[in-house]
Amino acid sequence: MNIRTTILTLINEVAQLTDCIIKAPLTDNTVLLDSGLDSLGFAILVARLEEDLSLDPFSSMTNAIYPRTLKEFVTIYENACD
Amino acid sequence: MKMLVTNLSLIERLSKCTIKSPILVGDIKSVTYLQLIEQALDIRFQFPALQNSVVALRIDDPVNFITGLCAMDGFASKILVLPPDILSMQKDNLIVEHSVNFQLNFDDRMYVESQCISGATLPKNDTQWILATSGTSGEPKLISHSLESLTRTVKYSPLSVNSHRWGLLYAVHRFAGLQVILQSLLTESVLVVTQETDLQKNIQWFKDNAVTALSATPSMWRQLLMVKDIEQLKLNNITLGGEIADNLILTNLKSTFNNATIRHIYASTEAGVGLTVVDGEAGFPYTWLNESTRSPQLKINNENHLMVKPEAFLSTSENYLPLDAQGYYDTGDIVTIDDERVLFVGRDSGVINVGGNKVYPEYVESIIRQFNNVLDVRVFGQSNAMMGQLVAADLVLRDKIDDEKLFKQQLIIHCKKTLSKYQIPMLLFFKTELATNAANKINRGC
Repeated sequence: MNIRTTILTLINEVAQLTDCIIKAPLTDNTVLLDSGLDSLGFAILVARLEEDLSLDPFSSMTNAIYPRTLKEFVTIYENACD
Repeated sequence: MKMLVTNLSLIERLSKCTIKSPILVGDIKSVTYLQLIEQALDIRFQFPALQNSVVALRIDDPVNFITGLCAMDGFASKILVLPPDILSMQKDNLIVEHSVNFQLNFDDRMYVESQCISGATLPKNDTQWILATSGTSGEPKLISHSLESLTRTVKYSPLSVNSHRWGLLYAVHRFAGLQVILQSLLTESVLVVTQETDLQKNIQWFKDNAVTALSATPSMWRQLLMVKDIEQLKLNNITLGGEIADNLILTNLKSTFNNATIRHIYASTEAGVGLTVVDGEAGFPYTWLNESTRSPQLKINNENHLMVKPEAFLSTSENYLPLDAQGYYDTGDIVTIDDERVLFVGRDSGVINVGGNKVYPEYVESIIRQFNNVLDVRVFGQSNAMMGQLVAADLVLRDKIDDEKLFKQQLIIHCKKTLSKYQIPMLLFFKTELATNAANKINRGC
């Protein structure tokens, strides 16, 4: 499973666990704050991604970047993988 | 700069303010000082029975909530501030426990519900404010304050008068929310409030109303930095509190809001003291330790706990604090020294801080132990770049299971029945045994 698919799968899983409703089909341009996942949901997503990918790019950043769209979020993980 | 310590009630203090334009700007209505005072006095006039009574306040709209507070401080003997999400049963328990006489509500106008509590009203003194922590689980923790204790950190100087336009991000019924409200009102600054819960719309409202000062937890700030065009908010005063502020968030705020003064606050509620750090770096300077002229004085004990010396008047028989021989109070916060800085690590008690919300691991463990097949459990905080910490749990099961994913889902469903969302361990790990300390207790230290 590639990183984008892993992220999308986990977003839906975390949304279900946290009773969040994903508002529309997720696309690259989906604004994360509009996705339906709340701040706790995002925090859980990042923790679950660390479990699955052994990556936590946000903790290892020297200059933190706060992604605004799904594409930016996925790119952060893809770059961290390289 | 002086602290605003006085025995005057809130309405008496506000009556000294001179600004004529609206000082409370809400999405439903805005009011000037004069209107706020008039409306507060009108509530007292309409409901004289509330005088010297115990009054529960349950009002969602920020402007009406503040009006209700102004009316009741110095009028009621005790104000019980109820969070909007409090469960009916919990509310009933609190009403009995505090012998609440009346509940003040707002539903297009103020109205009062009598509570079926008999007994004489209490003698009038400084109004006591009881804040109930939010939560749909367990019994809410209650903290008693007075206007004086809530305004102890409000700094007043001629320069601070009308110098900011504060935006309120915290819920009005929370300690941090009340501090922003009082800081703003008592320094004659404008307070911009909204009932909007969508963060992006909230920020747009703040932009439209030229907000210049915001206070939030580090977790809230991380989320704010995800809002598109957040830098268009022309902030010159940024405050972080309620959680450990790390260098990453401080650096990012500085680069996003170039002209802002950034202060992070460490507060020990029990000791009634706070530290304000304005140099833009995490923790505080090592040189502050053992500095005899600093208030509060600070030191570190043998267990690496931060010790603070509260002001003498705070340690009374009513407000007892266990102090060491030199008069220092153990905050229970573990610190470490790194490169001339004293950095906060976490709580010795194991209390977990999820984005500013405290979670008591023992309570969560007691809920999990009720679930079928759980032999033992250790709940702990796992570091998280977004929320500071998340609740996690190590589980020891009685019998082997076939489907771990299904078990986790069912356990989370079980937790949802009694725990708030931020209290539920969404990170679950299966273990064969739990680590214990020399006293055979679950390891909780950081």
